[in-house]
Amino acid sequence: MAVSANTIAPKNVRDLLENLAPLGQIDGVRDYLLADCQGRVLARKPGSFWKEDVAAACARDVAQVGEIFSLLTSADATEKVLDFRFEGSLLLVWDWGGAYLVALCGHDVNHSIARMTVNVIKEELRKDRRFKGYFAPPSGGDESLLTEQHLGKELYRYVAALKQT
Amino acid sequence: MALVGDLKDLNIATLVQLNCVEKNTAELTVSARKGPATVFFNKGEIVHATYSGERGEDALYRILSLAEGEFRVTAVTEVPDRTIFTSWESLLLEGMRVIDETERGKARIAESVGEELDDTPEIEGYVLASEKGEVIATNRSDDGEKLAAAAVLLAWKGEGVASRMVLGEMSILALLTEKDMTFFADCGRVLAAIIAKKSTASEQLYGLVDSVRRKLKYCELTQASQGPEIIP
Repeated sequence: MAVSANTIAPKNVRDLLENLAPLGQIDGVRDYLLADCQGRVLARKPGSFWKEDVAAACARDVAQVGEIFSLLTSADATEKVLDFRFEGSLLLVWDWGGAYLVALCGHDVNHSIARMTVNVIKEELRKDRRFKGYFAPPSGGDESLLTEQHLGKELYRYVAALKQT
Repeated sequence: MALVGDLKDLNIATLVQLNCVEKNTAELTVSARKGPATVFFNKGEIVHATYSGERGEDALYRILSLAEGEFRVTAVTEVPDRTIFTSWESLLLEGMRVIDETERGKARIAESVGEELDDTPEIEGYVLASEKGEVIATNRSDDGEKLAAAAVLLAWKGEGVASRMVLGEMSILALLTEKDMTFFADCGRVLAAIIAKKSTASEQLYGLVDSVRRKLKYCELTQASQGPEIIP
């Protein structure tokens, strides 16, 4: 099963995959995964063509980008979508505060349908107490992904400028 | 034994000069943002260079403008087919001239694009920054440096995602909230951060940001061979 067993219970993963399944039915959506705000893969599309290490690295990158953006935007923004545009594809990322839903799409994807579908998924998951943590911003105790250890010396020096008020 | 270090401690021109004066047969590699940059020396002559899809003298001039990245110099016994035939002294002189022109041209082009963004009512704010995060043009006096720093980090992260997932070059990275849209574009040697109100048609804004990106990127390509040019 496409999951990090250390992060989430198998039953929860099955339920998650069931909840996320409508995303895979949208024309233009090629692959998807759900990661937590620490960049750990919680669940990904069954039969995903991303290798596990690629999915993990992508989840980490996305979580870092999410953290960078959180330092730029006001805390009261309730709907945050990251849109990576590449030559032949889009990577759409819905930032739920405590988790990121990542979908690899073609440029032909219908954004409105994707948005509506994700809203339905989000509302269904929000009702489930097991997934409550996905919709809360990370608490102060959570480890930042913008450390020198994560970014390397060269990039880390930009974090100080980014954190200036 | 390999010589390893950081370009912040030893600049690229000095490294090249060192290998030439010492008449080394060696490979110099730099871990640059756009991938590895490589220069080969044969008995002190620069014979081949590759960087970001370019090779020969064009690649070398771009490598000479690198200011950041870890480097490694390794002695080799064989070098690739020769693509560079000019003496190293002339190459370094021409390289410095190209860098100087590029820097001046970059500032002029950024100023021109900045004026265009100033005149676009949908745009609330913008920052054009160098690859090193230095602000070149902005209308955000309060958070310009912060946006420039974010642009550098996001350019690196975007490239990371692109290369790992084999998605090709990233053109735009946007954050969409219910209030506004923040765009980041990697325009080659210039990074752009553009903030717009959400009320504007989003595809129109993507088009505008892409047009800025293309202008800055196109100018970068033309500068290397023809000198600075401003696209009207």
